Formats: sequence, C-alpha cells, structure tokens
Amino acid sequence: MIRLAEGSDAERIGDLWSEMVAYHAALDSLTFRPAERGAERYARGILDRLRDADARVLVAEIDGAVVGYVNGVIADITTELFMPLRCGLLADIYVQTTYRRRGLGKQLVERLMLWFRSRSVSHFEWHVSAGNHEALAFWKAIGGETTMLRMRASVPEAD
Amino acid sequence: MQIRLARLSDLPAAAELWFDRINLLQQADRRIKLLPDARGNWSTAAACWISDERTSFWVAERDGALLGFAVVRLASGVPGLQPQQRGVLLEMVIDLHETHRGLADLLLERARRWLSASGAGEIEVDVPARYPVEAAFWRAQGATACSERFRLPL
Repeated sequence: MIRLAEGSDAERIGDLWSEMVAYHAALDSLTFRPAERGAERYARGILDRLRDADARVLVAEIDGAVVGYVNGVIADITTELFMPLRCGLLADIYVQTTYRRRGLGKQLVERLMLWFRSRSVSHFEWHVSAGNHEALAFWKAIGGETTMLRMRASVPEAD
Repeated sequence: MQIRLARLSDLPAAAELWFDRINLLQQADRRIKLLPDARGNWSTAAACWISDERTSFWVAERDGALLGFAVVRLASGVPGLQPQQRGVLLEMVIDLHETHRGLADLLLERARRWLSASGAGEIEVDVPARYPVEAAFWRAQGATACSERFRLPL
C-alpha cells in the first residue's frame, strides 16, 4: 500500500534514510558519509515537510511495516538570472532491498507524479548517484533524461 | 597573462563573456530562459560575489582585456552528511576565442588553492550533460562523476 506519511512515520523514515545512506556508501564511500545523528536530523526534516503544503512524503507499507518512502517538494529551481520555473524535485526515494522488484519504487514515483501534476508543475527533477547503476537503469526505464552531471574533484591541501 | 581577484570594474566585460556562453547553452537547451535584463541581473549577483568572504572570483587578464573568469563559493554540506563544508564552482567562463590555451587550468588552480586555504577539501561542479567537452575537461582535472541530474516532463 502506498499512503501519505504521518508524523508517526518520521522516525522509521529516518531509519530508512540511514539504510539508503549505507547503501550509497557501499557504492561510493567518498560521496555519502553520514554525519553524527544524521537520521535524527533527517526525521526532523520529514516532520517539517509534513507541515509544508509544497512538499509530499509518501510511504510504501507492507503488512503494517513501512518498507520504503519518497520525499518530494515543489520549488523554483532557477536563480534570479532566469525566468522563474516551479518544478517538482524528488529529494529521496528508497525501498528496502528485500522488497525490491515488486514495483514499489515505481508506485511511489507514480503517486508523487500524480501530486506534481495536480499542482500544475510541468516536470520534475532528481539526482541519482553515478555509481548506482540499478537506480540509473530504473530512472531511464521510467523515461528520465540526464540533464546535468555533478562532478567532484579534490583540492590540494593547504601549505 | 595575469590571474588576479576580480574588481567591480571587471564586471561589464565579465557579463559579456557570461552572456556569450549562456547564449550558446540556451541554443542547445530550451529550458534555459533568460530574463530581459539578464546581464544586469548577473552583474548585480557578481558584485555580491566580489564582496562576499565565502566567495572567490578570479579573472584572467591580458593587455587589459578580460579573457575569462572563475567563481567558487564555500558551501554547507548536505544536512546529515559529511563533509559539512565543500567548494562549489558557480561560474567558469573563457572567451570563446581563447579556449584550449590553458586559461581554465590557471583559473581553477587559483580557485582550488583558495578553497583549500579556506578549509574545503573538494570542489563540486555541475556540467551540462549535452557538453561532453566540459566533462572531459573536468575529468582531466581529476574529477569524477558523483551524480546525474534527471528530468522528466509530466
């Protein structure tokens, strides 16, 4: 079942966020390093999102357990130099490994897309870790187009 | 050739270089829609960059002519994730007649040194997916792709 997240889900969503970060750390240890009490801070952020009319958090529930979630928001993504453009942003999506390949991720995305459409935004955007080949394939199958590549380089240590 | 920090008097020439580049990007990407006074808006933002302690704005100049510039900013990390401070490239523009002459390398070297002295261990840049030349430049700088930004029309 896909449903709207409630305040009582925040802690569980924080735990799922921790799992997601650990999953990404295994893919790229330089990119994702959780800070101390990161899950707690994330859960607090989810509670803020639940009070925000421009945000939507959905969860996937199986047999009473929340096994996945998606966190989306509507925002103007341009700087002051460009014409304002409100679009959907998918901040995070995660489904526990055991529950993958059941279409839960797709259902979460489709429900979020319905909400984006109901808010009259023309498109939505999201970031995918370059090392997460499973996710890259998932998003390409859904029809996503890569627009930007985020690259990172080290800087020399100060003298 | 001189690499130095930007002054307010550099902004008219820098705005022209920026406008040339963004015009090219706009032709290839219909999502980019400039405001009527884009140059003026850019110059206002750029003036703030010059005075902002967390931003470093470097220009390349030869015989009094501005040939390119690079702007980097110290930014907070993602909430809950380390590092809590990183460098972000805001702009890097080279005069279209001066490309492939090592200007970008020189500008970037200064910017990286400033970031390092300011406590950032890495620099992040968003490269348009339709410009493989830019991605190649960054790979030559030792950069690796960390994420892809996707878009889907509704």
